[in-house]
Amino acid sequence: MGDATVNVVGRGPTGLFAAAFLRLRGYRVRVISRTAGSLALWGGELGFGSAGLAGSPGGMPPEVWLAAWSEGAEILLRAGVPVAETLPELALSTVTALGAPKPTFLTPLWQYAACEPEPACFVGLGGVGDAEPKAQSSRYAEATGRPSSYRQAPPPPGWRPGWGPLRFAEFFDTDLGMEWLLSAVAEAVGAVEEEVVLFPQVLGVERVMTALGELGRMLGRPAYEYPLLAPSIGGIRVERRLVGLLNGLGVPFYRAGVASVDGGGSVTAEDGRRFPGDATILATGGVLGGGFTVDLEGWITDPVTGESVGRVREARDLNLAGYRRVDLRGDATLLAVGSQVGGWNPDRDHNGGAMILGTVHQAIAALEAR
Amino acid sequence: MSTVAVIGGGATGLGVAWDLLLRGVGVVVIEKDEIAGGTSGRFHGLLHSGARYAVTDPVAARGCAEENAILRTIAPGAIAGVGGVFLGKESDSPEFGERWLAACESAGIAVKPAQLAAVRAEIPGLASDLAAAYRVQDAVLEGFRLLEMLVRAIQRLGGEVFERTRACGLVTEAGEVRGLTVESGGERRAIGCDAVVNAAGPWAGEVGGSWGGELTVRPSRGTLVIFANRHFSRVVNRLAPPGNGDIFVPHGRVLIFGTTDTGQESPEPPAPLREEVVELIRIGQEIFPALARWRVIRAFNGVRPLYQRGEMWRSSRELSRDFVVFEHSTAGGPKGAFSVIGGKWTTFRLIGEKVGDLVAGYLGVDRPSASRVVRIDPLPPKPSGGSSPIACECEGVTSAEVEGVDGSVTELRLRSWFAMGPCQGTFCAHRVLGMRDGAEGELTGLRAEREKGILPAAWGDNARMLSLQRSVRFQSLGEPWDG
Repeated sequence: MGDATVNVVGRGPTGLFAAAFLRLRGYRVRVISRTAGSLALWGGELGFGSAGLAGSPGGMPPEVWLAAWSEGAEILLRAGVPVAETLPELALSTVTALGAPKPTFLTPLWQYAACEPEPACFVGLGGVGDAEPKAQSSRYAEATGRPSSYRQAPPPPGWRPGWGPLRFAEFFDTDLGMEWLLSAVAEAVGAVEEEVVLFPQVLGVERVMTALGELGRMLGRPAYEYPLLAPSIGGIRVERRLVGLLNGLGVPFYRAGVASVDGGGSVTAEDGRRFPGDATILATGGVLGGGFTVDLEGWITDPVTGESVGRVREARDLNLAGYRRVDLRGDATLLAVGSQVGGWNPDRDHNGGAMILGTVHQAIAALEAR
Repeated sequence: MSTVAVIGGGATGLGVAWDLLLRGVGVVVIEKDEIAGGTSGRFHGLLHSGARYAVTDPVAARGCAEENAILRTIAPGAIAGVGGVFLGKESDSPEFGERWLAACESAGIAVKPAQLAAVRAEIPGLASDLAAAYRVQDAVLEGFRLLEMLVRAIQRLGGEVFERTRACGLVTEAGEVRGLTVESGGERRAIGCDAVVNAAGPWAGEVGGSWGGELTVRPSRGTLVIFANRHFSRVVNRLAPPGNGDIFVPHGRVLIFGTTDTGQESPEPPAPLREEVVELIRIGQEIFPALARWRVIRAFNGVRPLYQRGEMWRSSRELSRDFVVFEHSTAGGPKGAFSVIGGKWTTFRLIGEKVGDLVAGYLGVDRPSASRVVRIDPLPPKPSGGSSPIACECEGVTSAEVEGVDGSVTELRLRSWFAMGPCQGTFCAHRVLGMRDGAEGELTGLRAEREKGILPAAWGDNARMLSLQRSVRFQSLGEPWDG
């Protein structure tokens, strides 16, 4: 199947990872999506639940997980997303926008993640709505038992109340922004007693690692970011780098909604275009991504297959839309990955990264066995 | 000077207090939650022209028509005179339309026939099989704003308003009311007064049940849906006997659609049920066929305090078929204790006037009501956020506005309007509450409260929004999983 053509539908994290995994195995790949994808909603980190490599979610043995995670890390590195060279054994601890610790696994190096939470100084930037360093710091100290302090830096020159995270990041990608960060902000932080200094995740889309390196050198402490909510600059950085990698590997992107997938795996788009292929992978997300639709009575349906996958009675049913396997027809012509596959619950288990890599791995195994 | 304690900080209580105050009577209003925390904050926002009740309740219809005109004069700061239309379908019986026109004429309600083409130009998305359209003087009543205006007006004239204060019992002397014991923040105290008016709406039975006589309130819940867009700028009514799902009201940037009518035991509004919301949508589709695809912010419900005709009915004064005032001394209770039950938002001032007549008479105050003519000042303009960052993008609420409110989360939400827009707090709740002590408990409470209204309308894009909210909560913010 190595020279076959695969249509990947959807360009959220699962779609982009699936496309990269397949392309690097020699498949011809095209990415078809109705929207710009969901990465800007998420931080760009990949979670494995609380057990890390010691656990085997999805019924996959640890050695298979090790291979899947290693390949995921390699793809990120090739794309220019800095991640650690070696995989952690257990879950790492990162921190939320509220200052609470949270398990994570494969995390870009711009974001704070450690085996054990360390004493941390939280820095707020004037005008960044999600950065409440005083509240974050006190919650962090309470939840981790580690000393914590906070600093508040002023808003940057030219700031207006309408500035969102992306506007801040654009500013820090300029020379003026970098200069201001390393003078006014560094000065506002001053001497830090804690082990690490944490900044809001707005320090540029392109130049973040330079900024953090310089800050760390000036402050004499490693500097990291803590993630904010949407639009997530961390997610945008990962999205741009993965798309860049795929473009470089000759993967074309098409804007289209999928109407149907024929028995051979070719796609017919809603606008009538045909995308011939040997297999199609649905990475359109569940209810949230728009890959499933919910009707008035609460029935959840896959509009491509017409399959009913569950019913919403309580809110949690939205993310647990019944059981759905990876190989939808049993002949590897139509595959589902990510939150299209039932049984995973990253909301509860913090294992969204495992859901992505595990289901993509299973889809590829089904294709290879064809 | 006499003083009257009024129980209930909704439209009825504040209307009674305002009317008495204008007669020179001192007033103290107590409210167990926040102002507008009960039924008055949970309605469709329609200032009735009266046309809706012309056939079934001509007295109420005439009352609505008169009050509509009065409120436009005395409280223009809380009313948007958008006008309304009544629409009939080809399948509707023309006989009701004729009766309705005749009834409106005899009740003095202005009705003008309209060209369907002109109505379609103003209101996009209407069904193709409409047969009749009439214009009426419907308006939009900004309920929260009017109550805030009333509170300020009452305080300016020396009246007192206490929120989060609960009525405990009457203080009597020689068979007459001399005070009211209240509880607030775990502490009890007595308020001296010469009469007490129970205007607790659906809670009136709990408040006045032991004051003498049988006070029977029949709570009836009405469910409504808030659409995320102001699809048009007219009130749209169905030309049919009053029923479910026949009113659409453009309200600020949203559209409110209702209602249902279901009897229940409790005065508390329960979580809206999906079947009620779906029934509303199905009915509404007869007028707007694409209704199920309109983005919904949430569903909510309010509990109407209808009264039970019966013993109390016979011993009380029939002020209208719409509301009743009960003087507890007529059933062996103390003198100076009154309960008012029923009423509509549109006629709240009229209720205030009628109750005011009765209470003033009891107190020997002979100044007539002035609430018909005295203007209620509009609210001062919202101060500009200046250089304060925006905390809630949907509603444009700044951090400074949020920090300026000292009170419960509900109060914070109602004063600043944060978490009330299309994202329902997904991207702002942690920010706004994160600044406060005890934020985690408050956040959990707000999430549960918002989800109550979103879940019953979780279809299409609404379902995606709820799913997003949950993923942001549990994955991005690490809030504890609720399953």
